[in-house]
Amino acid sequence: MTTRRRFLRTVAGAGAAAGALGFPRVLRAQAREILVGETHPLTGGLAREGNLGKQGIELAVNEINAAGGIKALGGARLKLMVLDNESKPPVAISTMERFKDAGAVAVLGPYASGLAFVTTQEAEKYRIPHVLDVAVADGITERGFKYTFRLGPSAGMGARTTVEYLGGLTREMRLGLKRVVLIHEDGLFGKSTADTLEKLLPGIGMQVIERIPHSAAAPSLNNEVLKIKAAKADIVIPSTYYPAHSLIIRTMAEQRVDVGAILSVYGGAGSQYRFIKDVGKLADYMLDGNHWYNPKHPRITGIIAAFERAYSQPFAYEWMLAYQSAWVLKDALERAGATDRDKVREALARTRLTNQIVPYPISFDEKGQNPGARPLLMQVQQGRIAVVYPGEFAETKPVIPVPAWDKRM
Amino acid sequence: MSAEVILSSLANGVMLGGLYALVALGLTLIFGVMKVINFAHGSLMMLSMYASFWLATRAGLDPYLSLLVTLPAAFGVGYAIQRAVIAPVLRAPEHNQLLMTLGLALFLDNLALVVFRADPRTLLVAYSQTTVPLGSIRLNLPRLLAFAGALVISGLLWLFLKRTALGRALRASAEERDGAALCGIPVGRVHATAFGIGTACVAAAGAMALPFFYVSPEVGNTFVITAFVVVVLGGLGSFPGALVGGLLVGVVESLGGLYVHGSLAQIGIFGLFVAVLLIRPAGLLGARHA
Repeated sequence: MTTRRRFLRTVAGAGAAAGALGFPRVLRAQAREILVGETHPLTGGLAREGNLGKQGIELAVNEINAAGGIKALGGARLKLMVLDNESKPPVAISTMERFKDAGAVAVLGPYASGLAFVTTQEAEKYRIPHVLDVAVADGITERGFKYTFRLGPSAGMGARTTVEYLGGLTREMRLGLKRVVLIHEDGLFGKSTADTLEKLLPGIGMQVIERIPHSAAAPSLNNEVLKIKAAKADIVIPSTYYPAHSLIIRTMAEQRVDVGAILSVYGGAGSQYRFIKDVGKLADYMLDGNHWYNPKHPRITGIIAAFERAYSQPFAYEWMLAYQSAWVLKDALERAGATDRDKVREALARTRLTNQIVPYPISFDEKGQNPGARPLLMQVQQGRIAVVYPGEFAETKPVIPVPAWDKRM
Repeated sequence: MSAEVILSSLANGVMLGGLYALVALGLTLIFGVMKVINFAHGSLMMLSMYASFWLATRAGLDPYLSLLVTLPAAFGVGYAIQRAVIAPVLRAPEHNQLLMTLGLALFLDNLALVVFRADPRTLLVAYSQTTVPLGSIRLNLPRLLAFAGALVISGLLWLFLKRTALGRALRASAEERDGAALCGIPVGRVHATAFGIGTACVAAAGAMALPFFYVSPEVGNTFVITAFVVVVLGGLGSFPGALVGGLLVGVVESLGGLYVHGSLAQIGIFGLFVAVLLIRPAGLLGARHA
């Protein structure tokens, strides 16, 4: 908390200093503000992710304002109206109504798919442009909405691309990995991801030899891991929530179940620094296809450093996408040159951003989805998350097959 | 399915069953003595797991050694909770007692969400991934220790109840509250003691689960819902019933999970549960007159 306050003070200080220098434009700008709504789960089950999103947007808005606001609108500053949707769809609906009443020009958020299903619906009703940060469920952009814009890859795009990466990787490295075991939680998320993977994997010459569903709240995943061992899998693909994911890895280590690779799709664990902090060396060599930044982008190191300084948290893709969403809106406001919601929507629809911190250009198709969005493939190596595929973004080479558990403990 | 997988699953079921038994012992003791169903049992387990977690990460105290701190603390907390919250509703209608313990559970769980956040945390100790070979299978050391610890604690508790004056007072209060009071047993204090011991049992289970599990604000439910089944299966208030029930449920759940997938694995437990209730409504080892 103190760090955030300190950060805000610094930024405010910078703004004041710029004002003191006496640029008339800046002074005039401070008279005008553009209200931007932000709905995130700041409390409840998704509080961690929601707060990361909030911090990302805060960072972006501070940067935008410090750099002179929206120039096309006389340097108007962005003013955030942040509402907590408590991780609950009904509350998320009411936040949208409040944004409408307050006159917000657009809405950012809301991290989770379940929340986005309702916030996009309300945005459509009230004709407020809504730029999503994460919310990957395919269905969100399948309803013909005009005011919904998603810059990142959907669940289906993520799975397809990750499987393509896996295929490319095994071809290039000439790996004879064929036998895949899918281990997934037996709710909607795990099951639908496993269904998609089962359809896609034969396309790269891999065969799903077993699907192992498990309960997300199981006190032990011993049986499931023994089944992986019995199946003699080359690759294990978990699609489950974080606690179970962590438990699977720990149990595999404990039972010394050695496989060629453990790879997940939006699995989270392999691309979360908290996972590395949590399980230490056991996290090494985990592969994950997920949202990530372009490690070759010249500004990325500075942005991550600014975030880590301000919030004392290691990098997380949740804030990165939220940060990016605020810049997408900024770009649209510049081109719209107005705060009229329909003009901003028009401008968003014509977005053509390149050279962003996400590893893809940003534009929107008629459904509001960014067709060029894609995940990257990361691997944990010596406690660091490194991009390993595709080659144009790779920071290092992937280590596959992974060393046996006995050799690393 | 290979013999190795089945044996390993069986062993895992027995070890987990020991832990269920210890959680269930606390529940059954509280119910036996006070006739109160303690819905806050899981929340107390969660709190003790956080206590051991912080003692381990901040003070470098091994989770098993942290029992020296958390057990007396849990006893004190349980004692105080009984005095402050349970005692006033002890003679109230049963639904009031249920609402009281349920309310306590909701309060503690949400407090934990605010204070500890929803992030699950893992405590990795040097021996977290250590296994003990037994024939062709590998037993996870922390699970084995938790099983052994559960048996030792149950044994000590059994001796305490059978051999000490306080233990006899506990049993007397359980048998006949008013009669015990008439004989000069300070029933109020005995009740609070029982709640304290029950809380200490679940705290021990929590600390011993920590090296092979994770802790999060809702972690208690993972173990305690099963423990409720164990208690009813073994017979409400029955001490040996909790032990037998715990082991049985652990084994049925684990072996069942080999053949039935995912969330359905629990179908075995609940099938057994319904069957026992139909055939022996008082539970496997429950008093016949209950």
